[in-house]
Amino acid sequence: MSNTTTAAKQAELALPGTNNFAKLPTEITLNIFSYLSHSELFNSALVCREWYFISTAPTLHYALDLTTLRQSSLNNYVPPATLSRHLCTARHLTFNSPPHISTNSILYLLTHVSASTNLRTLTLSSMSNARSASPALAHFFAAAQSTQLTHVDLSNTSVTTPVISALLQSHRGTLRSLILDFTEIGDGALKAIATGAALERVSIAGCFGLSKGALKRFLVRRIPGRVKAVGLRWLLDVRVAWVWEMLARAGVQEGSGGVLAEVDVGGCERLTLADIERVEEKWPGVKVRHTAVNAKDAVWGYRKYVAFLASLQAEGMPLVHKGERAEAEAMAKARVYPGRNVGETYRY
Amino acid sequence: MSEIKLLSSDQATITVQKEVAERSILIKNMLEDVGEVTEAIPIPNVNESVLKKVIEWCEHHKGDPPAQADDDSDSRKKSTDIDEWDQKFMQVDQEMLFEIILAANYLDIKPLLDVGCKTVANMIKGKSPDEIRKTFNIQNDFTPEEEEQIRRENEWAEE
Repeated sequence: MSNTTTAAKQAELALPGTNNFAKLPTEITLNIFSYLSHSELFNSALVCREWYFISTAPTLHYALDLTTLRQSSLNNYVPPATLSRHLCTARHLTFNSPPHISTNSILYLLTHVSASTNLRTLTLSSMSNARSASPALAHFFAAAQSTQLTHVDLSNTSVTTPVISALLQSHRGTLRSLILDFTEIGDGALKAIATGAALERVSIAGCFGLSKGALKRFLVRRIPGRVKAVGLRWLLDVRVAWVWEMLARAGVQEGSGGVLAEVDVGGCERLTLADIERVEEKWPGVKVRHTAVNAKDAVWGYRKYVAFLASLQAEGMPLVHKGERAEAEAMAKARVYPGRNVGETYRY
Repeated sequence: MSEIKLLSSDQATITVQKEVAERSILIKNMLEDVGEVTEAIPIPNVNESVLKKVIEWCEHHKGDPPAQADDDSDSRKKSTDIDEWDQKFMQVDQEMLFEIILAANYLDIKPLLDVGCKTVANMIKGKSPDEIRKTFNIQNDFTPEEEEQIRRENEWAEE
């Protein structure tokens, strides 16, 4: 607030008749404009010719957050001239859960972006109906001419495996960070991610389309060598042995930090506090984010016991206690397991 | 504590601690190149009152850690926060403010230049084109048709 009072004071103190901006070299005016938002730049463009040219300079529009873009601003999908110019030179493009624009329109805008050789970060999160748009998105990544695409965030957008394959196919040399939380990727996407030689951060939290076997292979054998942080939140299949082997393979020296320095296993309910403590003890340099609360693996031990009983039963072996047999059967049928906390159940 | 002399454009000599003057990369490099100087260093683009003001800023900020090279030059800077002392410092008439910016640019004192630019940016923020014109005495050189055209092509940026 005090900024505005200062500004108001300065406005009053302005000498009549002098345009102080006339004295400034363009690069300083650009520096001043770099502190303005898109809408403030838009107001500045209307001030005079000189300001119009300076405020539409590409450098001021490298970071485009089009989250609030409205459908009505597009004339039958065609973006206004200034916007399409900025799209061609954009470096950071964001559609973060866009409320006013259809996925098809975004895909159409992306065709302009594919010409940008400087695109570095792309965030397309929580887009609606992205599943049907996946082929177009795959095409975009295959066609994108950027030679510097380093960060892609598609979280909560229901993209499928071909999108990730296309992305890695064309940009594996530059892609350093890939966020795919709650997407609909399948096992093939993990194969593609494994080729990401430059990847430093991968997050596949809550990707429920992944099979247990593929996830295990990925974690144990295929994590790219430069990865520093892995996000596995809510992947219910994750086992402590996988995490263990992943860290062992990542060349992490025992007792010190290595390349792989952060693992997020929050919500991975098979991991107990005891598991986490063992991992932390062996690799103190690794930051393990977790939500485990039980000190002992009592719940999991119990589950294992129940599963063991169920497998015996499947093989025709007699069960020791009738009560346990009934419980095991019921659980196997409903695939409902007791949760970590009393009275809470997790449904697979 | 060694001192050096600076000669402003209006021939005033100002004595200043070397450490303070070296907030200016221009002066710092100059001193490194020539070594010891006894006579006053001419600062031909800056007059006495502005130079005094700039030195006042350097005096206050002499202990600041050197600014780290910003690699975010391509992304728009978001924050226009200015610390309290700097805000007070910048409460000067508009002409002086622009003179300080020009001096900071010439003397290569990046943090001061940024504070100046932020101050001006804050004067632009929240104003309509017309209010901006009034604030800075800028002539509107658009025809009504051009204005309408720009308004239309920039509609998307409105919040």
